[in-house]
Amino acid sequence: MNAQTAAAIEAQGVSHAFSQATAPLAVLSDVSLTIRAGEMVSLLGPSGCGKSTLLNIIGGLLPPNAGSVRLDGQALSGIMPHKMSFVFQENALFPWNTVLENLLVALEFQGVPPAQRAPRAAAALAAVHMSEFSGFYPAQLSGGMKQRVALARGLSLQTDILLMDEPFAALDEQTRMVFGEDLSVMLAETGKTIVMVTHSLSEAVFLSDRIFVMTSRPGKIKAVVEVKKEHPRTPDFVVSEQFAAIRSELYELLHDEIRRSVESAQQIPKRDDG
Amino acid sequence: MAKSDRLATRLVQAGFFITLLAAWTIESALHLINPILFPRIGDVATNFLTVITTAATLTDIWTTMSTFGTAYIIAIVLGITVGYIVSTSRLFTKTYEPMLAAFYTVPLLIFFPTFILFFGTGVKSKMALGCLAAFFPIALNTIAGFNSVDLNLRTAAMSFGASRLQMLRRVLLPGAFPIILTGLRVAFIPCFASVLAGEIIASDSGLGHQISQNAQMMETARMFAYVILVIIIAAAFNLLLSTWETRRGRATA
Repeated sequence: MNAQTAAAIEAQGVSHAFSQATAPLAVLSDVSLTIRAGEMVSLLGPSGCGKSTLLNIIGGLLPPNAGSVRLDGQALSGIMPHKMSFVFQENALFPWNTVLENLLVALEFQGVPPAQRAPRAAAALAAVHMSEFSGFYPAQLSGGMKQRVALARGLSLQTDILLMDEPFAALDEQTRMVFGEDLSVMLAETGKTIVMVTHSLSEAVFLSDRIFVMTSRPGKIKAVVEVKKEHPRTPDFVVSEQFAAIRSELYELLHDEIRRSVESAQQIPKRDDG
Repeated sequence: MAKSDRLATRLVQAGFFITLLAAWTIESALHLINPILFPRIGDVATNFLTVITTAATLTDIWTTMSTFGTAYIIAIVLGITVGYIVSTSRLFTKTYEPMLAAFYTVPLLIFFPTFILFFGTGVKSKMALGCLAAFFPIALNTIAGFNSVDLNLRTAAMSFGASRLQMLRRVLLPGAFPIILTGLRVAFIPCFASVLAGEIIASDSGLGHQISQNAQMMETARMFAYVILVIIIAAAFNLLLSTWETRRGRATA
């Protein structure tokens, strides 16, 4: 579907600040990155480093104060629902819709003709093994199941690019492991370009081809770490020396940043998977 | 609440009601209060039967309920529209929400003489008063309802490419619905009360008109019969709305 070397997403000198009562809060400072088509990358950084903001800017949900984003060589000026879809955390499922309706309504928003919606939704639910829960409401599902539905909703939109905002954040440790393995298998099959925001070192290593390590706020790209291991990845990879070495490298890169972010925020970060 | 608790609550409520009726019966038998001021229970019962079996009563019920219904529906349309517009921007909400809330505290009956000047003593002046009374709680709850819709859900819908109309139909309305429905139930009482008050003060037909007419003619027993009829209608309508509200609430919980 995509040429391996083509640049799918290019961010050039992106800076952003949120206005607030006192002084504007700078969250991103001169971020430039290139993500190749078919590549799976993670944006990794301490809490509040602006990685979710960067994802929203890449996805066209938020225009940056400075800099630009190019998508397949064309300047991005807003959301591109046919090219990029978001997988949000499980709390972004519509609580008044069933699992199936959550997918159907997203397809409706994207402008898919009515006749194609049901088969596409069914196929996406089958891909995440949630077909038998089609008629359930989100409140009746566990966190892991809801996250699968959120993933299915993103997949059903059949975009080349999938943007995932902390897909593991609401999951417990064991569900994370299983979900991560399934994700690796599924994503390897789809050949999509994937950008994932995470603050978990293990998940970043397990799933990414490249990891963009960000500094504490205002976020900059501190380093790019490559994970040379073909997909799909199995649990064997987690106990390999390669995995441990990359994980340590990330930890060293992040350690000072996390401390700085904690001290500047005067608070304990929500979760820094250790 | 356990089933036995609920039964006990119902029994106490029924007991209280029966005690009141018993006290009224005893008072009636002993002729304690002048029946022109406070009628005997038997007379009220006889009058009630006469009232509900008289064809003209249907006309009165129709006048009052159609006036109320029209006022209520206009208020729903206006309240939800204004509420939606105000909720579309934070600046609008900040500016207009406190103004609407301030107006809500004004005893709106004071505008009734103005409405009589504008619309006369017919049903239109009551409609205007009822509509005004229902508008504020509906608009305020609509604003609160739309603003309560989770930002994550709006962002998700936006990212999938939802149009403004799709956002309203598929995200904002279902998200705000339980709170809007509460607004509709809360608005029912001031709306119905205003229509009746208008009829009692100046009118030529309707249940409120019957109540004030019979009071002026010292037909207290007959007046009480109409009072009981109004209480029954109001209670039935309120029960209908709150049942709908809880059922909707349970469906989306």
